[in-house]
Amino acid sequence: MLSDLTFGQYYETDSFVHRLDPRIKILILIAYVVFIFVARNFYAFLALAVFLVIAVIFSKIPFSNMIKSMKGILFIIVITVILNVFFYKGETQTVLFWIITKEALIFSAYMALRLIILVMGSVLLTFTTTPVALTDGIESLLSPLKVIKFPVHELALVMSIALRFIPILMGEADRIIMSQKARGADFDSGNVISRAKAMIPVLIPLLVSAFRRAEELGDAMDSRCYSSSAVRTKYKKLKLSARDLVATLVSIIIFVSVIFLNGLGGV
Amino acid sequence: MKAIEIKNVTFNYENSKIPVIKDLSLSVDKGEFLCILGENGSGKSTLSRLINGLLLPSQGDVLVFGLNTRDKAKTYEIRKSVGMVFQNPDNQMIATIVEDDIAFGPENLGVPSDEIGKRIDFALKSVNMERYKKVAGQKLSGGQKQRIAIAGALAVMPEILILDESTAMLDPLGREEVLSVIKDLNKSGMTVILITHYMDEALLADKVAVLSSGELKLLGTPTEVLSNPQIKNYGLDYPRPYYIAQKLKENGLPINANVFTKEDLAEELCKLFQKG
Repeated sequence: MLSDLTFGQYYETDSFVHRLDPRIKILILIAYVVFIFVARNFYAFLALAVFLVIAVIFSKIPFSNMIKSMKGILFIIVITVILNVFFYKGETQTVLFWIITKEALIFSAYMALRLIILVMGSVLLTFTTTPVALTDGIESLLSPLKVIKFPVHELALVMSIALRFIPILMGEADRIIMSQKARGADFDSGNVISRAKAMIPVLIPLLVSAFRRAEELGDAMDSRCYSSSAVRTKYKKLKLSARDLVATLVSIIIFVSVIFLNGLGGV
Repeated sequence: MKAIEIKNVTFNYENSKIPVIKDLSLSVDKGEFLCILGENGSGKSTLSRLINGLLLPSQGDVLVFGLNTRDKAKTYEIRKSVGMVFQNPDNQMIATIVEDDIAFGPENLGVPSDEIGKRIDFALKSVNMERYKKVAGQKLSGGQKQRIAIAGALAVMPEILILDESTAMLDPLGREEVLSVIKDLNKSGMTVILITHYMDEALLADKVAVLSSGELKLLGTPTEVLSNPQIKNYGLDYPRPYYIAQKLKENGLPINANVFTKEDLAEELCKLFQKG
């Protein structure tokens, strides 16, 4: 079950999007997220969705993988839609069950759409960017903060290690769940509280193992001469290319068109 | 100068009075292949961590090419000359992609970018993994991951390579891959310390040391140590072919019982068969 969750996994292939500078990809994603919330009508959303589809096509990531990665947040989307449907205050007459208005339906549909393209956009970034490139990008974007003694490199390292261990710890959680089930543990019955309690025999071994792994990783890093104070070099230096310029221009065109399309009318 | 000198070292962890290593002395020559055998809890992993300064002795000294591990100013230099490969391949890969992971060591040392590229190619070539430069480490088999871990250590350009039970989690095929890489490295001049509880791996070494409850019990050539009946007192066993040959001889078969590998045992049995 847990291994289905491909969120945050690098998809290995060579494509236009893969080769983009991680800094550009991060900045575009940030702008994209902002514009997801700027978009107010169907046409603006369409522009953003088309942009996403084009990006996916150019990344050579199979659409099935993109869809699969949505499984993890399906629950959140459903909850958001339900809440919005019931609690959004609309002005027109009720359409269903006396309290649901037309505006509420439209608004929650947009909300779901927002969440879906937001997550897909982020997933596309992690699919096409190695965690190392990602943290390199963040490190580079944050590097001005070094002036105020902010530990930029350490932060980047912590992030890349966390990302690297997500699939390993997930696999481990799966194995622990199976072995506890084999010993008769019951994870699927009872109310929420007893189910949460049933997870304790999974979480404790997982935590212990994570600490053990951390210790060994620390030893391995020390053995390879890691020291945060040392003068480090970078194997891969980030360089902007013509490709990045093209991607930036396309994004700007899309974002500007979103602003124009917004002018066509609200909700 | 000796590559490693361990002089009367005693070690106990903080908050513990029971020493894990007791008054142990051992030295390793440059280019030598030493195998350290011992059962779980015999202190063999602790010993390896004492050599590159991850742990410091409670008493006694550890010298690596004459540098004392106690000398904080030299820790870096010692770690540069002692590469370490650990047991679990997943826990020693820092980066996701093979080449980025191998680059970690040289990056720490401040090696210029194009020189790092050369080192990565060299390290991957040494472990026969050139084709996997841009692959995600997670997709490799256990033996391949462990060879990448060796490459990661090699990229720092060490003179000594310590393998701390690096074959323990591998399947037979993966073990064979890793062992053949280790053998080749030793042939090209690398000082190797292989820590294991597999008796057959000890046969590859020049010298075998047996550790039990933190003490050095036996030291000698592989055949000397492995045929010594005392090893049973230290939680170890004869290599399987040697054991079988001994039993056959005990039961009256006129066989040369001094064989340690499957191949030699088969050879002896064939000879016996031909004689009729």
